[in-house]
Amino acid sequence: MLAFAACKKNDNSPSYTVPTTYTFSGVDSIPAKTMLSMIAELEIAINKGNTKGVAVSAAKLKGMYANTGSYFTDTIFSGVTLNLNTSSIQLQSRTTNSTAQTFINSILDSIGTNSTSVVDGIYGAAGVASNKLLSGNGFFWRQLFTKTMMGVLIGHQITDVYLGDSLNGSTSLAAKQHAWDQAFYLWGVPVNFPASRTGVKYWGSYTSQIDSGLQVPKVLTGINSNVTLMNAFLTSRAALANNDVARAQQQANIIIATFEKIEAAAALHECNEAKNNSGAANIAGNISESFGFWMALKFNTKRTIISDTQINTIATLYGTNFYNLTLTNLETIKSAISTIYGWDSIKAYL
Amino acid sequence: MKSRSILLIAFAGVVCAGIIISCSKSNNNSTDNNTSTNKAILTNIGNTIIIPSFQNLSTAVNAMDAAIVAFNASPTTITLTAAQSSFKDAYLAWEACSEFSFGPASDQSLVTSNVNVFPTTVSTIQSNINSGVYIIDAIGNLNAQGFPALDYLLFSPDNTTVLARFTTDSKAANAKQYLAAVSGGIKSKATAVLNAWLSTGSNYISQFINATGVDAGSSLSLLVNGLVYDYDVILKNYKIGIPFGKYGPTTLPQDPTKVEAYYSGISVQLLIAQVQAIQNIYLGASGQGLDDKVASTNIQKNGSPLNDVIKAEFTTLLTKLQALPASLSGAIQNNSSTVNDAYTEVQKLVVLLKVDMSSALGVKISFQDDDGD
Repeated sequence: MLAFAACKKNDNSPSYTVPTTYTFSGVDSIPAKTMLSMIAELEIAINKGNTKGVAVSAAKLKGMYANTGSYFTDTIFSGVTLNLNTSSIQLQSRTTNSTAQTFINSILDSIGTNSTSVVDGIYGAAGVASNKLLSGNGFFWRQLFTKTMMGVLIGHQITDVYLGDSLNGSTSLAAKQHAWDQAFYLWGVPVNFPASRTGVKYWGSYTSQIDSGLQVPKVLTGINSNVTLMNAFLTSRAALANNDVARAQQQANIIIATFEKIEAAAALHECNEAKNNSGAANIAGNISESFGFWMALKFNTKRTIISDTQINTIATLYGTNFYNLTLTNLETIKSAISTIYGWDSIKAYL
Repeated sequence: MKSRSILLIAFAGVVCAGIIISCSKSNNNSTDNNTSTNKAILTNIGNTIIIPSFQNLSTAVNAMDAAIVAFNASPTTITLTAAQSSFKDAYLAWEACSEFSFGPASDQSLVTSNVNVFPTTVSTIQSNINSGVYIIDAIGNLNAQGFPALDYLLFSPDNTTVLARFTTDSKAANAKQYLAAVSGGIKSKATAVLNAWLSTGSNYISQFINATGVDAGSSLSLLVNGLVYDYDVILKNYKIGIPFGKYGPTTLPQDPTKVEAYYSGISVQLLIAQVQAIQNIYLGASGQGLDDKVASTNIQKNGSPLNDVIKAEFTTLLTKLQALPASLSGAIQNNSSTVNDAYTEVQKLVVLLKVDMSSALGVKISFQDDDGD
C-alpha cells in the first residue's frame, strides 16, 4: 500500500482540488457527535461531585459509559435529535481495550466513593477543594477521566478505527468517506478551522494550545498541529471523494503520527500549566490532566517514537500521590518528555 | 471664496480633532513606550529598589535561620525571643519582595503561593511533625511551610507551650527538624533569587533593564502586573478582605484567624510595610519611578493630575492603616469601623493602580481575579 502510494506521488498531481474548509457532499457526523455528546453528559454528571456534599452515583456513571440504564438526555445537533439511550453506540465498547475500560471504570468508581466525602480535599483526605473533587492523593478525577478518554476513546477511534480499519479495509468508498467524517468531527473543530475556533472541544482545543504555547509575548512552539491536521483531513477527504484511497491513506499516516505528538505535548503542556498555577488543589488538577494525557499516549497503539519502557519510566515519575510532587519533579517529567521528542528548546513554554 | 474657506475651516477642524484624538490616544497608546524613559525607570527601580529588597531579604532570612539553628541547639526563652525577633524582621523584609514575583522569584518559587500561604494548615504541620515524613516543597505541603508555618511554630499559642513543643514534647526532635527545614527552605530560595538578579550572578538585572517595552513580557508589564496582583489579590482580598468578611461585593462570615501573621500578631505592621514598599516602587524611591511616567501623560482624575491623586491616596491609606491597633485579628472583632475605614481606602487605591495607573502607563493587566469587583 505504501509503495502504491509512492507511485501515486510520482504521478502528476491529482486533478481534483482540495477545498479550504471541510465542505464535501454527503458529510455525516452523527456517530462522532453521538460519542462527543455522551462524553459531555458523563462530564456533566461527574462535575456534580465537584461541589462539596454532592454525592455522585458510580452506577449511573458506569451505566452512561456502557450505555445502560437510560441515563442520557437526548440532544439535538443540526436539527437532528440524537437519541443517546437507544443508540447502538457505547463508549465502553469503543474504548481501545479492556485494560483501558477497566481504568476508566475505576475512575468512575472512585468518583462515586470520593464524592461522599464530608471533608475538604487535602493531602491524605479525599474531598472537594477549589471546586475540584480530588482523591487524598491529589487525583482530580474529572480531568483524569476527560484527558484519558481523549486517548482511549477519541484518539483510538480516530487512529485505529476510522483512519485504520475503515480506511484500509474492504469497505465501500462511501463507507470510507463516512468513517473519515467521523474522524474529523471527533477532532472537535469547526469546518473552517483554524480560521474559526468556534466550538472547539477536546483535541480541537488542545491542538491550538500546543501550537501557541505559554510564552508571553507569544512565541509559537513550531509543532504546528492545527495546520498539519487540517490539511491532512481536507486532502484525504477530497481524495476519498475522488476515489483516491491511496492518497487518503498516506495523509492518514500524517494524522496518526501527529496524534502521538499531541498526546505527549499536551502532557508536557499541563506540567507548565501546573507550574504557573497556585494552590495545591489547582496544581494537582493540572498534574491530573498531564497524567491523563500520558495515559492517552500509553494506550496509543500507533505510536512510533516512544517505547513502552520509556512511557512506563515517565509514568513512574508522576508517582502515586500528586500532592507529593514538587515543582522540581515537574521539571524532571518535562525534561524526560522533551528529550524523547526533541522539544528541549520549547519545553519551557510548550 | 466662501465655500473654500468653509472647506478650509472644516479641514482644520478635522485636523484639530485628529490631533486631539491622537494626543489623548498617545497617553495610553500601548506602543507609546519611550525606550529611554522606560530604561531609566527600570534601571533605577531595579538597582535601587529590587536588588536591595532581595538583599535585605536574604540577609534577614539568613539571620533568622541562624537564630533558629541557635534555638534548636538550646531552646530557651532567650533563644526563642531572638528567633521570634529575627523572624519578624525577615517577614517585614518579605513584604518588600512579594511584589517582584516574576523572573528569578518565579523560577525559584520565592512567591506568595509557595512561601506565604496563609492561614497555615495546622493539622498538616502537626501531622508532618508526628510522622517526621514530609516534602517541604510538595504541592500538598505549601500550606504547611513558609513564613506562616514559622509563625505557628514559634508563636502558637504562647511561649511556654512553644518551648515545650521543642523540649519536653515526645516529638520535640521532629519539631526541631521541621522548623529547620521550613526555615532552610526559605533561606535557600532567597539566596538563589538574589544571586539570579545580581550582575555578579546570573545577571537578570540586565535582562530586566533591557526589556523596555510595555507589551506583555516587558519588564514594565511584569513589574506592574506583579505589584498590582500583590496589592489587589494578596493584600486587599487575602490580608484584609476575607478575614474581615468582604470579597468584592460579596459578604462572607468574618474569620479573624485568616489574617497574615495571625500567631505573632504583627499583621498590621506587615500590611504597612507592604503598602510602603508598593508606594516606594511607584515613586521610584528618590529617582525615576512609575510616578514620573504617569505625571508625563498629564492625565487627570476628578480634576487633578492622576499622579497627585495616586500619591495622596497612598498617604491617606497609610494614615488609616497606622490608626489600626497592632493586631488586625483583634481589630476585626473590636474595631470594626476602623478596619472598614482602612478597607475603603484600600479599595480606592486598587482602582487607581489597577485601572488608572496601568492605563496611563500603557500596561495591560493580565491576571484575572474572580472577586467580581
